[in-house]
Amino acid sequence: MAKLSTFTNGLLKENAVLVLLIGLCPTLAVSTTAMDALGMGVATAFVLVCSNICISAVRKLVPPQIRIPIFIIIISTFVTIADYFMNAYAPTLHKSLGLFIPLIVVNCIILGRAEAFASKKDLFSAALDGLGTGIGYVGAIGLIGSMREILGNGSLFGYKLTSGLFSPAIIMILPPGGFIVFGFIIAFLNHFTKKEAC
Amino acid sequence: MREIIDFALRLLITCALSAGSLSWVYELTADRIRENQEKQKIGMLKKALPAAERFETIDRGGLKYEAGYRGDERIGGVFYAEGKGYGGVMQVMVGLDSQGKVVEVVLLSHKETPGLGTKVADQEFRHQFLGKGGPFLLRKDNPSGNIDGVASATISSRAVTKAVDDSLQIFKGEWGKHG
Repeated sequence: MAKLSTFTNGLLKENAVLVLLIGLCPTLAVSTTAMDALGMGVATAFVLVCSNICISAVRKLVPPQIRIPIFIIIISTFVTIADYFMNAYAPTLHKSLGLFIPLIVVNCIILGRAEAFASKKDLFSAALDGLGTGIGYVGAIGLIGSMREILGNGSLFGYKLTSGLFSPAIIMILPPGGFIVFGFIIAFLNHFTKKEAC
Repeated sequence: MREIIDFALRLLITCALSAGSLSWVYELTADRIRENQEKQKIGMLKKALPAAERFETIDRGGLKYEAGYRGDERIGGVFYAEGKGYGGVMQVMVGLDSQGKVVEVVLLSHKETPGLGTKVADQEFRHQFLGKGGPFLLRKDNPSGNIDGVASATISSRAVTKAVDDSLQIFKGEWGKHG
């Protein structure tokens, strides 16, 4: 069945961040702590799944000439919903993610999946695709966030881990550290998944 | 022409549905969001002046501060001040007791470098103000200064020092005028 691969493709083989290298701006910007990274990942995944389902449901009603504005309206609706709920139920997280929540609207992973997949496929496939890509995104940004928090702050989810083992390198929670960690993760991944070994 | 009207209608319906569902979600969350903000504000004020049981906002033509009460006695105030930090404006909240001594310094918002400038929020830097009535000056700026700046974060330290000092000035001008 093609259905299962629809789901698993987004997890690793076509992981949006680690393999396709899209949606990097928010990924690198808010992955300074594991908590922020996971919050951002879950919010993005929520928007991705909901907008995928919604766009697939209306795909026959949307003329191709005006599909982009309609997709954007749908996506921004879900982003605003996520924004309100986070503000109401996770105010600290909402505060530390700040501007990056409304900016999920222009995250190219979401519009990319809408254009390339959801607008052409049936509802069930679109939901599976959104779920797979979303979980893949949460995993990727969570991994980057955890690594950066451990290396740059010596803690994980706010708990001190490394007192005395090594002094944390502040650069890891600054923007350059994001690129360094990101590069190493991709290098490791390529080493194990690509046959023509580097 | 017919096509344009058709497109416009479809877009209109999409927007209307979106607006409708958003206003519903807004209704659902608005109370909680307001509650959170209120709670957060009280929490911050309590941090700046823990001895106070309740706060009263005093607004005198642009000058705004919170007077803290214990029972009916006015035991101090929480003053807002700003300083120019390394990454932009730093907003500071300073709790002062009725003698004008610093009870606590709380960093409200800032854009300082994580791990360097953010250290001004640490106990190590803040404790230099506590229990004292100023005036405060950075030792680096003036040999008779009484505050040691955080290493590699002089601009952030100077901003906070100045903000605390400013709030003391406001206190001197305000206290006794009221209540």
